[in-house]
Amino acid sequence: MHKGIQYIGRKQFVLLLVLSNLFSYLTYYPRASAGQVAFGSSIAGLVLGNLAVWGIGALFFALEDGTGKNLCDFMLLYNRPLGRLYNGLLAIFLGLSAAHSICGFVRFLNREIFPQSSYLIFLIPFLGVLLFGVVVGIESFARTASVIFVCAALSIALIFFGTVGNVEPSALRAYSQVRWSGLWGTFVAVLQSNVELLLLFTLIKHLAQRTPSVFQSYFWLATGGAVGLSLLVKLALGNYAQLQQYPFYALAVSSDLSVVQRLDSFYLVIWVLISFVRVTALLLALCTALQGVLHDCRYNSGVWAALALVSALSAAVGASSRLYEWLTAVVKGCFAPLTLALLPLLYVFYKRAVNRGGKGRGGARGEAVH
Amino acid sequence: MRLCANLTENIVALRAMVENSSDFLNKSIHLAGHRCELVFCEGMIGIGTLAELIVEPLREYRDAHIQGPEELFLTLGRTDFLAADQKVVLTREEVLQFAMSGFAVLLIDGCEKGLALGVQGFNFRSISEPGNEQNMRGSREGFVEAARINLTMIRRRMKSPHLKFEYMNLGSESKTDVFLVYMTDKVSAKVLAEIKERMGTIRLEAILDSGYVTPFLDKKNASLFSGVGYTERPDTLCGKIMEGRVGILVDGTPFVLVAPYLFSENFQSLDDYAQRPYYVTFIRCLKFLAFTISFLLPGGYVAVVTHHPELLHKELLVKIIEAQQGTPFPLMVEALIIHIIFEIMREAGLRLPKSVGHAVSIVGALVIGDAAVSAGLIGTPMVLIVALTAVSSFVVPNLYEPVTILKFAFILLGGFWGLYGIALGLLALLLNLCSINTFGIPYTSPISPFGKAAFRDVFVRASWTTLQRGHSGIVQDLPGSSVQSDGGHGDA
Repeated sequence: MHKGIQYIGRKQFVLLLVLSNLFSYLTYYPRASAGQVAFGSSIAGLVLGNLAVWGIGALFFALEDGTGKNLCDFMLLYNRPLGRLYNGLLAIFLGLSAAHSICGFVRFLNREIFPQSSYLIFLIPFLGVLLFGVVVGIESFARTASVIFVCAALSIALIFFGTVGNVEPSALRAYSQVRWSGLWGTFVAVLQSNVELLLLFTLIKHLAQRTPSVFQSYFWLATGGAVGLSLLVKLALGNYAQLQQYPFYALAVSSDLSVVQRLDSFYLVIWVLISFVRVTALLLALCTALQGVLHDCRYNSGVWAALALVSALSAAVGASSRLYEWLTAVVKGCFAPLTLALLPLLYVFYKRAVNRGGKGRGGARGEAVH
Repeated sequence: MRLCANLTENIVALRAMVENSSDFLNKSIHLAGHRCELVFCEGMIGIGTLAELIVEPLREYRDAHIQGPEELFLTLGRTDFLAADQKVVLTREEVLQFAMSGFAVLLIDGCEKGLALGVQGFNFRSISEPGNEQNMRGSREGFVEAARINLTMIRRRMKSPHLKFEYMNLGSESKTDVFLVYMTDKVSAKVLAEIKERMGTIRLEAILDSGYVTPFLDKKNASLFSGVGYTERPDTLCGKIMEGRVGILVDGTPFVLVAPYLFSENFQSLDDYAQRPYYVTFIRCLKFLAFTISFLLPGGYVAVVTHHPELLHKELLVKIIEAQQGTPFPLMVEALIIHIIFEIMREAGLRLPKSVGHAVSIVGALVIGDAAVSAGLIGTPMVLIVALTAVSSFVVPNLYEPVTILKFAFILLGGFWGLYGIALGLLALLLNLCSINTFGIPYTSPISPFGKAAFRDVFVRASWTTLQRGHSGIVQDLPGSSVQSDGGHGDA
């Protein structure tokens, strides 16, 4: 387990976040929770939601100021007890989010592809690879993620070529329908479950060269990917997509190349790769957050205990639909990522403003200012 | 133990140290009235050279008038018509080491030191084309077992004053000669120091092959892949050291180690730099494809046919099902059996004399393969898969060892979990590859972390006119390297 800081490149960091974000959009399809939402509204909401993420990221950069700290460090710096509490809460949320992603992925496998087999048969090897990813550290993980990005892009391109024949251009008309209620609903949905924001604020500690262009690149790639996938699903499947629990999977099932018919197996491979990136990123962020809670001597055992808890939770939640729904509500339904990102950010801004004000006044009064 | 003035005592002690070994010889001669002994090992020296460079010139001193033994020693040391390679030895251990390295050591009664004279003349295999690295164009020379001959082959190609050979002696019993070779203006001081440090940890009694040294250079690397490469070609080694790498020549083996060694280098050969870039680019892509096929095809086939038959077109699926219908084993077991048989055949063909080896190949290909299909034990598509896998695995021979193990692992993963297992296996493999750092340089660089070098000499081989523009080619300048180029401090 790497306790020291390993550094990764800017492009690697962006790709890692984009892949994590792609996980949501492979299962996400802009649909209404109650009633119909115009497709145009949901796309506009999605873009605005990502823009808001970019804005919050820019706020963090205004605070970060080249100090090399992440949000956890800032909290510890300004208020140690509060900082430890924040790090603890963040670690718990990241653990829950990791368990939720693992369950979501393995339940998909168990429901759609291998319904005859046991849930644990798929969970155990996946957990094994995840733990290996955490053990090798973020540097090796980021290198792996870069290769996965290329593989994922190629696989998605393959699915695109397999479905492009089914595209119905008349469905583009749906873009013209933009309603404020639908737009607002999607905007909120994008923000309330955006775990990437927390990954950004936690894992930024490992970024070798910090420039605000990280958020810019992330915005363009994530938004482009999400809009592209949604558009492809909408154009190829039309309203049938809204009836599906996994619309992109339905798209892959309907696709056909001359060599292979049905590309759902490619989809399976993409999702394994992307799920791995998302969950490992969450677990690595969890390890980073735990650095602010645990003493050096207890760090390794603490991390192993946390990983064991996440594994146990994944096993328990995957077996019960009620627990899974509860976990989904906690992770996606209560604005936890946004709260855990925005509140401390505002607090640190406030503390910094107070400190600067104090120093300014002190200087004016002729007190010692060095 | 230091040599003493009494010559008889020295000879008795030396004989005792080698337990009176029959190849250890000493010849008495008298020079200027002093009793001398010439000590050497049989077979390690050239008898003609000994007679011409030592015995004949020494004959002139037989009746010379030289006062004491010390004066005789100094006179002989100044004599310039004796063997060019001369060393003064002070201890009995040194006498033995030089004698066993092909030197004749002259000991004088009354003198507490000896004179080692290089008259190496042992027989060695003549220089020939290396069997494992054959090229269409370029030199036909390959390294031989004698390290000193190998040094001349390198020096002949690199007449630069920056080329440096550094001698080391490894193996407490074998006292094997090992040479580090590098360009002082290209190599990173950090890399060189680390290599020396790791070689300093070798405590083996005997170093009989360069493979004995590899694990010490490759430590902290729990992987099927190695961060240390090897070559049998002097031109390839010269190319590597020009990129800031270090060559390690071990006496007794024609395989020279190269460190640091990256994953992408397994797909490069000297021919790549002699042929047209567009063709080399095509060949490189072909090699990457062949590597993927060699470990993934059997597992992928098992996974698709067993768990995802919906992927295949109806006609193809029907043909596969027809072929597999009469076979008694599940597809995964069938794949394992046939691949194990293939590995047994390969191993048998490799170790047996060539004439018998061919017979084994014929038995394997025709008798077992054909008979197994005719008897309905194995399906025809599986034979095709094995053949394709085998041919592909020989395209990148450096990776044969990891590919063999991975092939079996992927068959098991595909058989148990289908494409899900294959995807997990690929993930674990990727993670493992990406976690290797060879002397501070990522093993997968410049593929990941990605660098422009990937489009210069990995997937694509740019032409020499492009390569000479702004392309240092130095290994420590690759993306992700923690050993940045320091302008070469090999002398540091």
